[in-house]
Amino acid sequence: MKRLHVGEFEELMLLSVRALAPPVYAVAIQRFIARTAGRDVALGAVYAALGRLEEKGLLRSTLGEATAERGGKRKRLFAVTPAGMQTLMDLRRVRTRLWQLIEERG
Amino acid sequence: MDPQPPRLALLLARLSRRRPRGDGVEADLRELFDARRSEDGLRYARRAYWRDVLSLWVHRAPSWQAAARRPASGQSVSGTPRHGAPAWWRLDTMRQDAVFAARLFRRQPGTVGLAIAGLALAVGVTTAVFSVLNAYAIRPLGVVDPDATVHVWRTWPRGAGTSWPYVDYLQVREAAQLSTLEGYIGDAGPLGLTSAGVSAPNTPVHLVTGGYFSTFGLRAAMGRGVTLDDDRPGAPLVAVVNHAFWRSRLGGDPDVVGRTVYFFGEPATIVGVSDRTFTGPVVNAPAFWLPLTPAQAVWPYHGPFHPGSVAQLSVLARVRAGTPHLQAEAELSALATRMSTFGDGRVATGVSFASADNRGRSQVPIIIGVVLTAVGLVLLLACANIANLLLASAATREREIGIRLALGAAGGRIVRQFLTESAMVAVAGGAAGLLAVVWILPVVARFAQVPDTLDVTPDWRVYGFAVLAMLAAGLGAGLLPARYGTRGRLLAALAGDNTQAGARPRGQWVRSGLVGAQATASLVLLVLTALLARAAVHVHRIDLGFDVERLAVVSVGFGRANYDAARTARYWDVALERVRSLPGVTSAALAETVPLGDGFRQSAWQRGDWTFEAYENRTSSEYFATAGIPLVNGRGYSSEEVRYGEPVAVVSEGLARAVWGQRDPIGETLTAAIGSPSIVRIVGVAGDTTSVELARDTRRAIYRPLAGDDVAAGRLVVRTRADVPAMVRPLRDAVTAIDPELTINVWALRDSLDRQLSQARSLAALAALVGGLALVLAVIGMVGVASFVVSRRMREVGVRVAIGAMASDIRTLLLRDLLRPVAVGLAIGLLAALGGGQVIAGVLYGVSPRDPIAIAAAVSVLAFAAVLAVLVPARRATRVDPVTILRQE
Repeated sequence: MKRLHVGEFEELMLLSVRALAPPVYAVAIQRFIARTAGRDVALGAVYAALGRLEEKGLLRSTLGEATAERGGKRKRLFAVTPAGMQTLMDLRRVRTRLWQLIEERG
Repeated sequence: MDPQPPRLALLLARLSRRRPRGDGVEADLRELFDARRSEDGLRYARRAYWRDVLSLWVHRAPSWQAAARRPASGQSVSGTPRHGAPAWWRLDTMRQDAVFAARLFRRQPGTVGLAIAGLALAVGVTTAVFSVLNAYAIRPLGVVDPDATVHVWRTWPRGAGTSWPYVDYLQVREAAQLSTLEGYIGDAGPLGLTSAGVSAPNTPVHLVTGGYFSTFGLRAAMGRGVTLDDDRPGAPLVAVVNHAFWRSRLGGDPDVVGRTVYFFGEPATIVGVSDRTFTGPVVNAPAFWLPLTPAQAVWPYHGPFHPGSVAQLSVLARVRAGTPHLQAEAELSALATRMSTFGDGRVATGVSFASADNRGRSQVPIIIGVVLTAVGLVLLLACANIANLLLASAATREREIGIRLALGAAGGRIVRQFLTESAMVAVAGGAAGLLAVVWILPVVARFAQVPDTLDVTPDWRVYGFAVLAMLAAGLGAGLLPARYGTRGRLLAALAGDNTQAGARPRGQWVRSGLVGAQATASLVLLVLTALLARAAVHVHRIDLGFDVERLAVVSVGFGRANYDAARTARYWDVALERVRSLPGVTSAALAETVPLGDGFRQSAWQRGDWTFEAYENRTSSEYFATAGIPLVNGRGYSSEEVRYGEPVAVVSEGLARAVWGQRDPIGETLTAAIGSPSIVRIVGVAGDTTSVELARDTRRAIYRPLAGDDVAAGRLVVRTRADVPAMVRPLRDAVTAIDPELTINVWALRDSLDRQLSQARSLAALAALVGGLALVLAVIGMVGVASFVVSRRMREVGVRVAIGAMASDIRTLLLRDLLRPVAVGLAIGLLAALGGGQVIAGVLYGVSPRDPIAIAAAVSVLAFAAVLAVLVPARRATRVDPVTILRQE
């Protein structure tokens, strides 16, 4: 399989989608990143990144059911795909190794 | 109700994408807004909302929406997702267009650079000229409430006039409830910056009433305006200096308030500098405003209380807010009628309001209009160049565009690509032009002889104009190629067959038209340039009709000194005697006006039932000998005739010829249409002179004895043996010694002449600037089109060479084809120039607006440039190797 490049912001998004309790939708992700990473990202950037991640097959999305809130608008709900999870683990492994090396060198 | 997100932003968000039903973007935006509001406050939430909306425009829309609805790929050929906003509106695709255009331009930096530079010059000069025009004619009057400010005319049974007797003004002002009246007397006087002498002989001033500044809303940049206290009898004389004049002539001296200046030798303290935007209710602000009452004690002839005053108090009113003008007018009329007669004895019938803003008629010097037209043409030339550039690139991109269309790109997208390209050139050129305005404006202002008192700093109107010009250039230059580009011939394009041998490449007609139009416009400009250049040369050869060398003028300001007619006449007798006795003086005479700068009185005369106008000067008997005007027939008037005011006159040859033809005019009579003596007898004929302005034909002139009651307006004309500068001091000393109270001015007539010559030169220089620019732009256009057309016809040329055409045949063929539109353009331009020349006839100093030499020169320069422009690419074509060309197919 072709290795997909995942940018730093995309990684942040993937982790957020995984970390969040349902419903995982754009605004919730945006808020989560704002609180945890201190970055109040523009909504357009969130959409674009989610779109890219879905294209790469790291996320999948479904339309949620209409609810009374939000004027009855349905939410698009996101979940990390197995490929996405794999990518996250790979990234984590690489980083952990690098940190280990740094610490061994002192 | 909860605070709402910014409505405009919401609108923008709705525009940004064609939102399918169920799409939750708006809901997302709202939810984020609410969250931020509760966490970070309303201000932050609003700002972030805006940022979110803009981010929707900038970022590529996610593709899941499309994927969910349209299983097949939603990608269009141009790389634009098919969903979301119409492609036209999307910022991200606009960025693509811009990047694409930039890449295209980088491949032809020379042509693009020339187009941009040409446009920059054109925008710069046009904007500079426009800001002068703006100052003269467009921006509203510099008063606080222009709509409520009106001129008050007084009316009598058979007419109306702008000027009021001061006493009537005071009465009406006192009683008026619905409007506030203020008045001013506009005049010019000698300004001294030190007590020693006069540094500006004709400085425009307004003598204003005390409430003038407060009523019309002066904001002083420094110090204060004229107040009611300044306008009382016995108050010390103060002056408020015009901002533009302060900057240009007083060096922007920050300590100017408190300094002393001198009018007619009388000290006045500067108390303030006007705000830049305050001109008062007039277009041409004066250099100084002085309070009327103290100033009239200083001012000769014009003081409103002066016996026999000719005071022209112009009265203006500011109508009280909310009051209809008609009502205020009626009130003032009633007040005026109550007086039964005005202070000058006229029967009062009332007043009428006239717009204070009467600039529409004639205030704009014609030369500004001409220059504006000229630079407008230059702007068109620059646009035509951009259009040509883009047309050429559109033609070479037929294939690319054909493919894009064939694969389903929207036509609008292609149009936008072209518009983006032209807009980029226009914005780059326009921005550079706007920066250049800083340097161009002072040059233009000097050439256009903008007075020191007129502030020409660009305001938002000027910048608005520049931006509009830029947009017009961008759109105008882009639409043509865009229209052409979208009519792609798909099949031909895809077959690579876009240069069928012998067929005229498409779009060539359009390009030929553009080149022809350029030839037309630049020929008109070149003819004007040539005419003005001829005029600048010719002006040196004008036969003045008198000897301007070693001729000095002495003017005397009688000021408030107590001179009546008899005493003034005696004064002149003494002055003439003393001046004549000076060593180095050949002769001296008294004249009402002196040539070159004073202006002449124009009087109307009747001969039988024919009425005509003539320039009139009143002089003492020695005037002809002193000025060096030959008497060609009869005699001058004697000093006795002058003393007793005999009704005799000397006419110029031109007048004699016009009135009597070949007959001898001596002893004939003329009847004055107005004034007295009503009948004058002709005793002599003098040579023609060019004596008012160089540009004006003054061959119809009449000279009459300077009567005793006119002498206050006189000046001494002195013929010196040595050069004038050496004589200025002795002349001034001699005349000052008679009465040290009076203000004496001495100057050389040669200086007046030089000033007028330099006007002609600077006008020609300005024209040369514009004409040269036009020529350069036209050549750029022609070279561009020629090399493009030649490159497109390479295959045809190859075939022709292969079947035995000679190089000269090829050259002739190409030259003929390329020069045809230029020739047509030249022919049209010639007709236009013949008409257009009439407009500037007034500044041609006697050169005919259809001067054949100028026209021939302009035509040949342009024709020569055109041949050169097409010859180089044409020669290149003849050197091609037919095998190389044909193998490419």
